Amino acid sequence: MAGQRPSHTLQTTALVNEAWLRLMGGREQPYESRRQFLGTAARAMRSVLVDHARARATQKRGGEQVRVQFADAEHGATDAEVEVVAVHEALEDLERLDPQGARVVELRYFGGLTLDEAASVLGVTDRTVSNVWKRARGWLHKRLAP
Amino acid sequence: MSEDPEARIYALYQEALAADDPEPVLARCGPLRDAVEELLQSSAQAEASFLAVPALERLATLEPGTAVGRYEVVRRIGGGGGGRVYEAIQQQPRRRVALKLMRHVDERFEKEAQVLAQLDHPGIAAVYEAGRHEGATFVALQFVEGDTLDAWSRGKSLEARLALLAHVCDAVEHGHERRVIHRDLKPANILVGESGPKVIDFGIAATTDEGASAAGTPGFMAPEQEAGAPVDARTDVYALGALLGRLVRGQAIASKGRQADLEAIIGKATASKRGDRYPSAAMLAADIRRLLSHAPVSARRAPPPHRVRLFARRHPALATTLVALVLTVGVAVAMSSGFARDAAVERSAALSEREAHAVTAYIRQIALAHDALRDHDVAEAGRRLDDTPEHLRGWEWRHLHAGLDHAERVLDTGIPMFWGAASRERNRIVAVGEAGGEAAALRMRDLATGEARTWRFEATQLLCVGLSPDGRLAAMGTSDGRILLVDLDAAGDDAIELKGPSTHVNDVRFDPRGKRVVGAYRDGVARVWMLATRTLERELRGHADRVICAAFEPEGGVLTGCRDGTLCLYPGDGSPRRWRAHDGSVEGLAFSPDGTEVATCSRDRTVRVFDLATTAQRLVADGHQDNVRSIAWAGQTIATASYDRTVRLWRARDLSALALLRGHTNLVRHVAFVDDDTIASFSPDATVRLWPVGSRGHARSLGDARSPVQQVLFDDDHTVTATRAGHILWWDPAGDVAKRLDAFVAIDFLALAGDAQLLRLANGRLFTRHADGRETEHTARSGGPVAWNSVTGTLYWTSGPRVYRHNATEGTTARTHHDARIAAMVAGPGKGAMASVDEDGGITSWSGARPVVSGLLTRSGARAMAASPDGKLLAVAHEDGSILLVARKDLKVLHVLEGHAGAVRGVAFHPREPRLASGSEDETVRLWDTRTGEQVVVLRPGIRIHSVAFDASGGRLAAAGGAESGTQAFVWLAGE
Repeated sequence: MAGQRPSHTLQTTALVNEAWLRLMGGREQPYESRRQFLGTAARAMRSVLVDHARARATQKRGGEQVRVQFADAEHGATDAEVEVVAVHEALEDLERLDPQGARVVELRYFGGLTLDEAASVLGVTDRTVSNVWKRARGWLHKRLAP
Repeated sequence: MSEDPEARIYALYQEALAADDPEPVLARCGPLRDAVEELLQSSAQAEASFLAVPALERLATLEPGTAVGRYEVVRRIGGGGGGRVYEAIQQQPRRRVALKLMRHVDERFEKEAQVLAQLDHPGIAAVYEAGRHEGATFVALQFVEGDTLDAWSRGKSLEARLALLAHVCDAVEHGHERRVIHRDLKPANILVGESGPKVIDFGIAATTDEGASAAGTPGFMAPEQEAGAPVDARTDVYALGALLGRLVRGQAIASKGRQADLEAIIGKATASKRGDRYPSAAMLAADIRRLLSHAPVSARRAPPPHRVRLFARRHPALATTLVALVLTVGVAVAMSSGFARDAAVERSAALSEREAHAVTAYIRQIALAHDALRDHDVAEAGRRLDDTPEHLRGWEWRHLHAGLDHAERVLDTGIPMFWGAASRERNRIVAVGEAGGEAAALRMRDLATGEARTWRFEATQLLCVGLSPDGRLAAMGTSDGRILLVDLDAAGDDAIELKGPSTHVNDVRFDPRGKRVVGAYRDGVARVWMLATRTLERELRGHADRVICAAFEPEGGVLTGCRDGTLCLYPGDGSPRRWRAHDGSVEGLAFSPDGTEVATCSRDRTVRVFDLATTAQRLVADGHQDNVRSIAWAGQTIATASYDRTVRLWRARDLSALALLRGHTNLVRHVAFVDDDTIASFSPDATVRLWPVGSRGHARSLGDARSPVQQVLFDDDHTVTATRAGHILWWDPAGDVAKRLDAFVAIDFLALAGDAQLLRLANGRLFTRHADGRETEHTARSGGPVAWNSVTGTLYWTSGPRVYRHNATEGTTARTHHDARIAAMVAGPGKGAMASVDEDGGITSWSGARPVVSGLLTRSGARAMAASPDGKLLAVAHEDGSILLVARKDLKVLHVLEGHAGAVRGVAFHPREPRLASGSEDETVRLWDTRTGEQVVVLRPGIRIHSVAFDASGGRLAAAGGAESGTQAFVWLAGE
């Protein structure tokens, strides 16, 4: 069961934490390095997940270019691959307007971090992260709206 | 600042989002305003589920065969939003389930899931279980096979569509009755199978962490939900209306009338103001069914409730014909909220059952103590109060306890005292009483020196005692016709006897010069004795019954009171005049300092004042609950002692009650002035009690505020009243007016802002009156309530349904979150907090300029509001006498406080304790326990109450008001 875990896990945070533990071989590590790890992991995961989503979407659509748009699928569900790619591309624009906002979305959405974990990575208060998250998400929501 | 418009828009958006009130920022946006507003809207709409699931989880899929708890995944059947949905198989019992996996659930989830699991309706997909698996939360739902509403409706008749939607309404109503709002009704959430429609995902949108308010799907989302405001049953009614619109779109409709009916139903269900919608899904279902059966639909005949009331107000003659309709609408409003009805569910959430029982037992003891105190049985009241757990004691306990004994000093005499006298010249008191066996005692106490002496008389019963003006001689009446004279300054114990007929000597007094004494004898005769010669000077035989009291008038004449209720005046010369004074025995008399009037007290429980020249009765007053046995008069104060165990003080000028003094545990036989400032009372309870003349007891009327008081509040130790005649009076602790401001028209709101006063006049004008007398008028006019937050210096006022907010740094902003005229409002505690309630019962809690949560109370007619100091509770007082205690966070009604028999005009929370005070037109002030909703104590100031207030320390409670017409008004003050 442990071997299957990465493919079946339901929570990104659990995955990231497990990766951290394996990386460190179970040793206690300073808080600072864990913080850096979480920040780096989010960036790494973004790149891996976007590549993965692009590839899967291309397979699904038989080589068609992925439309960078939020499509409302048949049953009200958003296509996950489309969403992941769309968020990634919109974030590139947001980085120009609001680098902090883009970073928080990266940590939360791609890194799977909770609000307080994101706050500790950025060294700001939970409240700040919550406000930044809200404004960035509002902008993305409008940007990605059909 | 960048020139790039996109960057500029983002910067403004960021600023507006961070502001408590975006309006000032938006005002600066110019042509970019629309774009910024769109972003703000988008931010509000995005709250529920957007990007709530991280990318990895969005991409991850459970492979078939994966075990999640006791379910085995079969295939993925949907997803997006807050989670993914799989078809799964449960092993025990074996059944197909829809397994919804969710992330970001808060601690409320399991509680909510329990509520959801209780939903049991054929139209709702059952929730089997909620659980956790590898850090995610899942819900197992009944697996519904069927088509979505859109798919089902293809080819169906109008009637079939309408009938189906009515069933959907029934299912939604079932949820509302259990306080569950769906929040995301849309075609994809209604599956129609062989057994009819099934609503899925009921209430699940509320359990994700991004706030309960905004879930929903554009096109089916009510405006309040889109705006991120709190939702209620009417939010679902909107969605049902939108579903109805979608279902009937493009359908052929038989007649224009039916078309109009249908449009009216959809229009009413999807009204943008929720107050204009059907108050419940059941009402919508009923109208759809009326349409199906070709009956007239309510949407086309019933105006919204507040319009009905307005109409009734404008046309009283027609109002009765509308009664039935108003009743129907009223009942619907009561049902729609659904929250209030289940008050018991939330009741005593903060208290364990045991604690709640303890509180109830405590309140019972308080009631018994209060009853005992009302009967002036301070011993019993004291026992009851002592018998309460200390940690439960609140304001009422201290109030009642302070009411047990107002005496400044208690002299323990050790033996029951019947009668007493005081010498103002010598500051000396004497008292006579039983000394055990057949013996009697005379006790003397010099208050200045503390010297005390006792004389003992064997085989004697002493009934009364008089003291010579110089305080040297005591005269005592016995039960066998003797008057005993004792020289208090002499070394020996010898007594001189004045021997009359063998009968009771009921009273004995010296003349002002100390030369004579007069005795009131039971045989109907008053006898005057010359002290120098010890001889009988006069026998006064004007009465036909026992003489109870007698005294020399300053002119030298004698006045006597008789058991038959008559007084008889024997002038020094001329014939006696006798007149009927009381309806019962005249028990005591006291002359005015100038000797022109006499005050009398009687077994008929009244106190009267007569003019001696004309014998005309000038004043009468009552208050004592039993025989008034003794009366004394000094300066402007009259004191009386009663068998009801109390001493009362009266203003001599008008016999208005000044104070009710408790402390004696037995009846009070006699009262005398020790000096102009001190009263002594004598009782068989073996004590002599001394009271300051200024004593006002612990609950008293401060005085006449000259016209009905609209508001009372505290300014340090002063009580401040604002009246309908435009006076503001500052009452000092002694009850005198220390400061006044006049010449305004009626004031109906007053707040103190440091040294300045903030006023709202009855004509809607708002003023600030500064310490230097300057007045500034605010530009706005308030047609409704006003509130003031002294912490932030923010003034709130209202006009119809709009709330205006002003402070010096932010200027003025307006917000509307009400459908009807605002009826009451309260600011604070803390920065930015405000709450308002409209005349239809719509209630909103605000933070800054934003509505935090809104709801609908089960009743309308709010008159006043208060907020608890901890910010957790709101009290809404109503015209019908009820008070709703509401949780601020979700506006759920925790308790309905019922007891007042008239409109409640004022409510105030105690600053420290779980207590709420309410004042009503029924002339009572009531205190409630805010944890259990129980009535703790009823206080009776005896005036219609318009306003109540606690002082900052929570020691004193003021109530003020007055008659609707007339000029009399009183401020009533109760303290510790």
